[in-house]
Amino acid sequence: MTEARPGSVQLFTTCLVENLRPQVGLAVLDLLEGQGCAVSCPMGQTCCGQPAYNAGCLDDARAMARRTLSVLARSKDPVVIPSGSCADMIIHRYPEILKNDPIDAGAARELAGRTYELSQFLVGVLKVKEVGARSAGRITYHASCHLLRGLGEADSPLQLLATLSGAEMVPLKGAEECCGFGGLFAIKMSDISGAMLQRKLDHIRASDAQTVVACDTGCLLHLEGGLRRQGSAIRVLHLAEALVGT
Amino acid sequence: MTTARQEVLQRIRAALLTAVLPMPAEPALMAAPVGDTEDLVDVFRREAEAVGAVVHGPVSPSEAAACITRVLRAAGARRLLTWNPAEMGVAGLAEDLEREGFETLDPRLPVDPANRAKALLQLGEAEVGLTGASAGLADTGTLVLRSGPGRPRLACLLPPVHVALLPARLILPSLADFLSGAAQAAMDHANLVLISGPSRTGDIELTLMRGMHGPREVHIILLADSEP
Amino acid sequence: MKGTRVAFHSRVSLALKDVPLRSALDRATTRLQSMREIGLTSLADPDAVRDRARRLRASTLQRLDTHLEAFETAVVARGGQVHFARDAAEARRIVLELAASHNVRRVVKSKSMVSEEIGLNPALEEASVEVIESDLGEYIVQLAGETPSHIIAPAFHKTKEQIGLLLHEKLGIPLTVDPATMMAAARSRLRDVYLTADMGISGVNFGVSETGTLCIVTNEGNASLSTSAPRLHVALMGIERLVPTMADLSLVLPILIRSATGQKLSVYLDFITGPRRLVNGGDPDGPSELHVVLVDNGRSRVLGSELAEILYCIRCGACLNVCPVYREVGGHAYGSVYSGPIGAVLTPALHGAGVGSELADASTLCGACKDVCPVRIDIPRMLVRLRSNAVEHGELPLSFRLGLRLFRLAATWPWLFRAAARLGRIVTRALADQNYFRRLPGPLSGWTAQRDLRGFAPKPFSTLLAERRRKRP
Repeated sequence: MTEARPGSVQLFTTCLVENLRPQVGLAVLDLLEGQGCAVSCPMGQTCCGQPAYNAGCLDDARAMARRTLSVLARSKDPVVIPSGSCADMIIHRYPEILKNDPIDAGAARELAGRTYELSQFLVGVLKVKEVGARSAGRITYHASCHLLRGLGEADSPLQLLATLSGAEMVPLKGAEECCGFGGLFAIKMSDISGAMLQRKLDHIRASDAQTVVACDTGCLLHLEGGLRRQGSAIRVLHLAEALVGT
Repeated sequence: MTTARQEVLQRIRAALLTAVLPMPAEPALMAAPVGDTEDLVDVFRREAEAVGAVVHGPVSPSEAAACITRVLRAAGARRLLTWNPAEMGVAGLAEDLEREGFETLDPRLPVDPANRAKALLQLGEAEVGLTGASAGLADTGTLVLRSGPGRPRLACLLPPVHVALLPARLILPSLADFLSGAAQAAMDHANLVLISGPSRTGDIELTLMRGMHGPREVHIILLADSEP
Repeated sequence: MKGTRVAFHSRVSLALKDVPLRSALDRATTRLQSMREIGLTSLADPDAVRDRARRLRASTLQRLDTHLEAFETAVVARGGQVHFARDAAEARRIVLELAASHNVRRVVKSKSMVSEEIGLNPALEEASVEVIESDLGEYIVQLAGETPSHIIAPAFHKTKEQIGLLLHEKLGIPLTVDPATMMAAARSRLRDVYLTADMGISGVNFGVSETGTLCIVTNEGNASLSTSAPRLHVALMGIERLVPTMADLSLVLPILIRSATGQKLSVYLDFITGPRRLVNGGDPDGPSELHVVLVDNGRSRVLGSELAEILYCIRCGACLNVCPVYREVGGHAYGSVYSGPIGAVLTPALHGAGVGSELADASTLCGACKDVCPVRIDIPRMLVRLRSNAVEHGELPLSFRLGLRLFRLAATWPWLFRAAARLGRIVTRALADQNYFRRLPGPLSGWTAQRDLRGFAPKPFSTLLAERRRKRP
């Protein structure tokens, strides 16, 4: 893997960003193009298949993986994804679930080798030191599980947030604890999910932050869903949105 | 007809044909701890105190008896559940104990249940258990005791206070040092027990308390080999 | 199995409403987590230790039959007796027969998860054998007529007020909230038990196959006493709990104990090899007979499956302490002997046939358990495997199955995906309030009971992208 700044990258938007939080996609474009990358968004993207995998529907997950592979294999450009869980799915789970497939096993490994979560890419590959954006107020960071434990990225998002001028980072108690989303878990085990969410929201409120940032749209859905229901004015932003000074 | 033994072993062999047992690569050799210039006795004392034991000495052979007597008295001993003094490495200990008026209970448990029960109840009256030790482990402040003729297991367990005589030269750096040579000792003794401080529990709201079943006080008297 | 799923949800619901339980859980898991972290600081390279420990478990299991035979030979060579038990019923039978043939009226027990697993205590009691737990936490739980809620700290779901009341009711001591007083009362009662018990039953943390040694880890000294005072010692051991050599223990003991309580070593480490020796005049005390019961009860089947890795477990409890689900509901909600992340895999693995399969769903796959496991067991992977087994057995509710199948279709045909998204936008415009749903029907009502749900954006990203590209080509 070369450390040279690549000229072109592919954006895998993710189904949640595409349909629910498209502003995240625009923010990612601003960030990457601002660093001099040419960003292509390959046609025909849908979903990485993680919900099916998590539910144990491995055949469905494989079908969706093959689809995504075909979309992202047209070009050899690195793939950047504004979601820790989708990136983890492609990097770690695709080679695993396709390992017995004579045709796609190799393609899965090849794709995994050039796929990055957004903060991973900005810090690890582009070596971004400065995003040049302004923000205001107190920001706290919730560490999404797949980014933190699946991809081992603890610091990159924090490093990037620290470069925002005008914003004050405040610590979040239990930042590394799961918010309780877990995809279908939030529906199948909604009472436990709600209890986990409440704990997280209590910590967020106690942090005195005005904005909470995370790198996974699933977490964001969950956090904002709870905060909004409880009448809170705390903003819930994706890392990309925060880094462009939203 | 297959026995349970045969069947379990057969099942295991069959299972191993399809077992998925992931294994990571051998990690790099861990750096051996930098040769500690710190004296083993000092490390032992610090670690034993950290787990709540009281460490005395090292005492020379001529001071040993007096020190032992002092510690026993301070612990309120009248009746002792003790190893055979000949097993504890202090010359003349038996005579000293007798002269000082400590009553030594017979630790031998009869095999028949009725007499055994009676004997146990009597042993339960001892205020102090007195033992030797076959080794110490410095980095955890641990005593190693081996059961055997003249070395009752209950001496370090039943009484509320345990006094252990440990020759300082028997202190090893760590558990790993002990275990690497322990196979024969394990096979030769019905019980080896490693004791690191007084008995403790945290089972009530994680409040740490001493003396749950085993002793609430552990005194370790380090024995030097020679006069200073 | 629908019945067990409903029961599980009902236990969860009860637990979530139990305020004292939840605050006890909070306190205890936080404490144990931080103790573990402090404990690991005294290891030069904890990750290397974990990798080595994992390799040891894997390589031992790879030759489990050989190690078991060697272990048996070694135990017998030192005068012990070994019994194999294919299942729980057989294990119970073996212990009951030993009790009957040795005129055992009273048993003192030190902690043994296997004994819980096989349902030993009720069986002994039914045979008129009195069984008393010696570990303080287990004793408290026994007095309360409950089961342990945590592998390491069985009674930590109880407050000291609850324990004081319990001891007042069961032991007749004056009502107190002072833990030291409670401990003294329990200690005094249990001393009587040690001194009068006919048989001691213990678990085994590790069996050592080269020497036939049983290694038992405690802080209280209750295993030492339970296995030294009575005339009989029966040790229950899962067949997977072996290490090949005494030296191997120096790898697993430090990481087990630090992961469990943060200590460098437990107060007592017992190495028991055979019964009381008779040579040279004989040992003054110790049991005259030692019986080791090797329990399979599904382990050999697990060994042959994709879940074999769960057998690496050394029962430290660290996964329970970090699990965000366990922290909310506690051990009893799991409804099985083994709870928390380890239980969510072990219970269905050991029992098969859909027992406990709902437990695999009680996880967000957050991976905190895998992060702390001293032998790096990949519990999330196995939870997905269990979920996939459930799907194959047709256990996924129809609505989910249908929903996922539709989702798969949409994901494989982009035009369908876009059409579905268009539908989503229409539904959002129709039903959402300022782009957020406040109430949704069916399975989604669980979400909206406590949370709003963001709806579909008026324009998807691909449309906004096209517009942007038109403006700045």
